[in-house]
Amino acid sequence: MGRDGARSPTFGRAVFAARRIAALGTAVYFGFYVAGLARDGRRMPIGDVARAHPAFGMLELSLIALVTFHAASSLGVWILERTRGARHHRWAFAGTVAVTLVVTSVHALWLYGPP
Amino acid sequence: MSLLRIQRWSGILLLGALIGATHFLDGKSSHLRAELVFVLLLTAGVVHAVTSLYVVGTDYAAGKSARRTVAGGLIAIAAIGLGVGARAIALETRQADTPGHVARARCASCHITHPFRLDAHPSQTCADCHDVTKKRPHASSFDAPFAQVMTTNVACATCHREPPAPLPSPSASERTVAEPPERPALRPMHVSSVPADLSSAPWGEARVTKIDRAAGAPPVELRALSTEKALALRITFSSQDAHGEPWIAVLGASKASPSFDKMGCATSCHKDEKHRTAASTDAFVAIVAAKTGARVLDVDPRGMHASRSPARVDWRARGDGFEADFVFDLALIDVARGISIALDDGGPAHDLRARPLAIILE
Repeated sequence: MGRDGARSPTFGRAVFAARRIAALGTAVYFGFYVAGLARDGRRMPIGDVARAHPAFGMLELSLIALVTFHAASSLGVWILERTRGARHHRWAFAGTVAVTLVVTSVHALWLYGPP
Repeated sequence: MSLLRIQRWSGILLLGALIGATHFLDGKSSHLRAELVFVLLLTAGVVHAVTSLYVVGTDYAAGKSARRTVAGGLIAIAAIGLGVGARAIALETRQADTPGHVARARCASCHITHPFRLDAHPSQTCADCHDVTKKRPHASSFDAPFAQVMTTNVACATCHREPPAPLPSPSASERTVAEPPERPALRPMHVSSVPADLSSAPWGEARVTKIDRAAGAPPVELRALSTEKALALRITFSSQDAHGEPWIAVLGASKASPSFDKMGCATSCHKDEKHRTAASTDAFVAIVAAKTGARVLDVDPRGMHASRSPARVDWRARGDGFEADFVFDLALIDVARGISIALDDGGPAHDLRARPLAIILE
C-alpha cells in the first residue's frame, strides 16, 4: 500500500477490491468462454452479438470496462512499483478511471453511433 | 522466473492478444496468424487466471521453495491451454458446409472467424441479413425476390454479389435434409370483410386444410378467409393423445425463411431450448395455446410484445382441444413464403417441426 496507503487505508483497500472485482468478473466470462470452447468449439461471442440486441451491447461494454479497469489498474500499480512512486496511488487510480471511461466511451460510440 | 512475474507478463500478453484479435484480425488475415493469436489469447488467459487465483488464494509471496512447484504447475496449465486451443481450432475447421447453404468460406469475409473479431459493418445489424428463421443464407436465397434485397444491402452484397456456384448433386441422405417437405396449400375463401367478432365469420363455408399429427391423434384443421388486406385463420386442435401440454405456433415471416420452411423451429431459434425467444427477429410468432387454459402469447421481433403481431388472436376451449382465430395483416407478411405452423405434442424441442403452408390467394 505504501505511504499513501498508510495515510488512507480505506482508499487503498477500495482500489484493491475494485481491481479484484473487475478481475473476478472478467474471469467468470473467460471461464464461460473456455467451457464453451471445450464443449463445441464456439468462438467468443463478441462483436456481432452486440448488434443483435441492445442488451448484448451493454454486456459487451461492461466486459470492456472490466478488462480495461483491471488492466489499467494493474499496470498503474506496476509502474508505481518500478518507479518507487508509491505516494502517487491516487493519481494512478484517477488515471485508471479516466482510461476506463475513455476506452468504454469509444467502444460505445463504435457500437451505437454518436448520441 | 517468479510466479508474480509470470502472472504479470501473462496478463500483458493476454491484453495484447485481446487487442490484436479484436482490432487487427479480419477475414483476410492468414490462417496461421489467426491461430497464433488465438492460441496466445487462450494460453495467456488460462495462465494469468490460474496464477492470479493462486496468488490471491494462498497470499503468495515469492520464495525459493515455491518456485519449482509453481513452475511445474504452470507448464502443465500452459499445455492444457494450448491443447484446448488446438482442439477448438480443429473443431472449427472440421465443420462441414451445410447442404443447400452457401459455403462457409464465403461467409468468412464478413463474419466472426476469430475470437473477439468485430463486425466490419457497424452500420448494419444482424437482422439486415438474418431473421429469426434464417440463421444462414440458403443457396435459394439468391432467387427473386430475395435477390433484390441481397444486391441492395451493403452487408449482404459483400458476400452475395456473385451468384452461387451450382451445388453438387446431394446424396440420398443429404437430399432428405436439404429439400423442404411438400407444402400443403392453404386456400382462403375470399370475403369482403372480416367481422370484428371472429366467431361470427363464415368459417363453415371455408375449405378445410388438415395437418397430420402423431399416429392416432386427430389432425389439426385449418380454415382461412381473406380480404384484400387481411388473412383470417382458424385452427382447430384436439389435445387427444397428446403426451404433455400441446401447443401450436403460427409464424408469418416478413422475409424469406427457407431455413425455417425446411427444418422448422429447431433449426433456427429453438435448437437448444424449447421456449427461447430470439432477440433479433423479423417474423411474427402468433400464438402458444395450451389445453389446460387460454395461454396466448403474441411475440413480435423484439420479444413478448404485440405491437407488430397479427392484429388479433381469439382463443377458446372446445371439447378436449381448442380453437383459435387469427387475423394477419397481409402488408406485414411475405405471402409468397406463406405461413408456417409449428405443432408440439409435448416432445423434446428437437422434435418440433413446422408445417409451412403455401397461401394461394384466388
